[in-house]
Amino acid sequence: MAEKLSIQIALEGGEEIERQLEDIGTAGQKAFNDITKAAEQAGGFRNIKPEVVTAKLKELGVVGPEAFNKIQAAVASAGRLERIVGGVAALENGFHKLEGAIGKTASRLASSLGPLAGVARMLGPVGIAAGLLGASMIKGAFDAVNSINEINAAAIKLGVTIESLQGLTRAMEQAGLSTEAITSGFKKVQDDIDQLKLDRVKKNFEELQAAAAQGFSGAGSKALRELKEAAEQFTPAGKAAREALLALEVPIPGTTAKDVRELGIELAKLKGMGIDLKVDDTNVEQIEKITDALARMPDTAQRTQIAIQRFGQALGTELIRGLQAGGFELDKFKAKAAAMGQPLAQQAIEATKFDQSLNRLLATWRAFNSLTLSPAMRGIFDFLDNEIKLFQGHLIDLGRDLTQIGTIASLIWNEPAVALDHFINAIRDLVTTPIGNAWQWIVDTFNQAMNWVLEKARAVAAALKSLLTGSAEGAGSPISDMGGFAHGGHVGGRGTGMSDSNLAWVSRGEHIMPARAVAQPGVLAFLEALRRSGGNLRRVLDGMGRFAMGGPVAMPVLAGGGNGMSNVTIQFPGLPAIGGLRASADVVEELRKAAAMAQVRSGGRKPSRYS
Amino acid sequence: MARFKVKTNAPEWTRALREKQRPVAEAAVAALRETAANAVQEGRRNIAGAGPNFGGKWVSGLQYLTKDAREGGEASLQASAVIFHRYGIAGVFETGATIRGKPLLWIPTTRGAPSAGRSGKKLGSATVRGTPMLFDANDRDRERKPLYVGVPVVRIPKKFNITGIVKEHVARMAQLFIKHFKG
Repeated sequence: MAEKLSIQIALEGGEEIERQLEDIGTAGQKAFNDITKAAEQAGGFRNIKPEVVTAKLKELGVVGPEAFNKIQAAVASAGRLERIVGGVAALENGFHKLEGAIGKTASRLASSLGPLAGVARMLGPVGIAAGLLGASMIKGAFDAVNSINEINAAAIKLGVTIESLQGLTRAMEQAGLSTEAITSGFKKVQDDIDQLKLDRVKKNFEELQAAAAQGFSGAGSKALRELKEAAEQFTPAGKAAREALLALEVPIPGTTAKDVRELGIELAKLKGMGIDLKVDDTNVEQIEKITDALARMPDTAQRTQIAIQRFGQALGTELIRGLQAGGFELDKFKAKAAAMGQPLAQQAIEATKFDQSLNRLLATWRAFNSLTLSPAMRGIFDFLDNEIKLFQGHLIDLGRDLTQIGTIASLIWNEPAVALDHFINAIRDLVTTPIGNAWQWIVDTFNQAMNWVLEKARAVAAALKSLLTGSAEGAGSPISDMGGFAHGGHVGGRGTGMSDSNLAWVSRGEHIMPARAVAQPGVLAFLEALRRSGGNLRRVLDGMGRFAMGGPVAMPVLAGGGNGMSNVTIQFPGLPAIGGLRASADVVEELRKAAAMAQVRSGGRKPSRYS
Repeated sequence: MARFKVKTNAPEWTRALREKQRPVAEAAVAALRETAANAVQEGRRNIAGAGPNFGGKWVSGLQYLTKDAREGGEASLQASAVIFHRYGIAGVFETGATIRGKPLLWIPTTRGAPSAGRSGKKLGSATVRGTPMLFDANDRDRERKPLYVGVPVVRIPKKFNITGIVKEHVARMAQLFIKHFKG
């Protein structure tokens, strides 16, 4: 039966390419999904809203590793307190939102910012209403605290309770009075009162002097009682009353010395503070009892008054502040005792914490900053850099493989490579931020996904290569029959030296010479020797220099022409060199050709093929 | 500076990959068509040169068809081309053949001879010098030449080289692919 003539040509590997591309798409989706999922597990990009945090930080000028220093600079140079209040609150909020993602460090930053934000909020209404805080927040904060302290001190002297003072202050602020005005008002009132008391003390003293002259009858009892009461106070009137009583040589009433002894404050320390209460060092064991009693008392104006009465304004105020802030450090007692006045209860706490928070925040940032510069972090960055370079190297290799099947490689893979590069950069931007160490596992996920994609990309490359080699049903591949030239070599095949009849896969960096050049005498032998030596030109030339196969020695051209004659040295194998000869250019050329032919023959090639 | 810059667009990723596949498939199908067309063209020349018995219909009988070149309006990497000859017997001249008779194969010596199958009415058989022959039944004297000569076996030589031509063209398909891809 006759056989029907039918030959089918198919795209071998086409189906495989489609399948691999499908897999790449799946891999890409998987990578995207994994990264998104990882981010969400780390706190969620949506929840973090980094653009909001970044915007808020930018609003404060907070960028880069010097963030905290810039915070300080921004705080110091802020023109408007409202902006600082809002900015600090936003910063605090941002760190809290980041807390879930970056963990301990963010937590420490946020907790350090807490008191700062508290002070900002506390000072905000006061500062805005009073219009005092135009310079810097830090200076303004202390100014405000000092002003408040002065108000409080004046109010305490007037016997105004903290609660009523706060209400009075708010009323004055609403009336448009500044803190300064309120303070001066209180001082004026206090001065008037002091003056009245002084007058009263003077009057009482005069009455007592008269009574003493009369033998202290009942006439002086009322004046003495009032003078004793005035002497118990730490006011100019009290001081005058004590001096008056001393002048009368009447025993000074009062509890100062006794109370100090009961407090048990060491005299040496008190003297070191510039405070001499003229007490002895007995009964010092009572100090803890008094301090404990004060600590247990409600935070009221009465407690503050008792402390001030017992220890004076500076010492008593600092003691109360320490109790309010939850700590009492004697070392700081001296430094602040003279400067501090009487604060409102909550404001005093915030002011103290404000000072502490700045130091704590600075220390925290320094620790954080050192973390970002730690070898571990640098190691992660280096690792990422290496991985990315490695991946890019894979892409280049992939492109090189594809180049072997023509310029198709760059055309097909250029854009995906660029897209992947962008993708990698995006991930790099993410993982090389200062919080990158917390995202290491995202990096791992990314690398795994990318490796998967890379494998698929290589599979596609292989499939493409298979496709482009072409195949016919029942026919062998003519290309594969030509054999490989991965290590170089002389190409046989069909056609002429210029017909380009033989299809070849060549690699980047390889060099192809025209057949005409290869056909020159000795060229092929030289090229073969060079190829076998792995491109070691020196070795090849050295081998030639030994004349193991004979040949002409270099013939220097005479500068003066030498009548067209050249020096010639002839070397035969196993014989000493024959030198001192001179020959014309034609003869030298003939010798050169003869030597080249001798080299070719020694290589086992037919001379007729090359000449 | 903490920067967060992550975009996840999986559908776009898949679409981009599909976009990369399209030009490959287009170029592959075009290369396939051109390869088949070139092979047919050269194959026809080969048939025409096989001898005077292979005339116009033999030449034009060599054709090609493409299959699965399009899928959903787009080029498919699963495309294939079939090069075939309309004459079923053409394969005999591609490979050569040995034809055996039952018991004899009657070789016609002239055109217009009656069919050998109806030899009982129009043809008469005779053996001349040991060779079976068929003569016109009316030519009882055997004055005219025999119309058929009977032989047990006929060897038909290979006349065409279509497969070899296709192989050569397929070997150049990669170059055509690159040409179309660049184009």
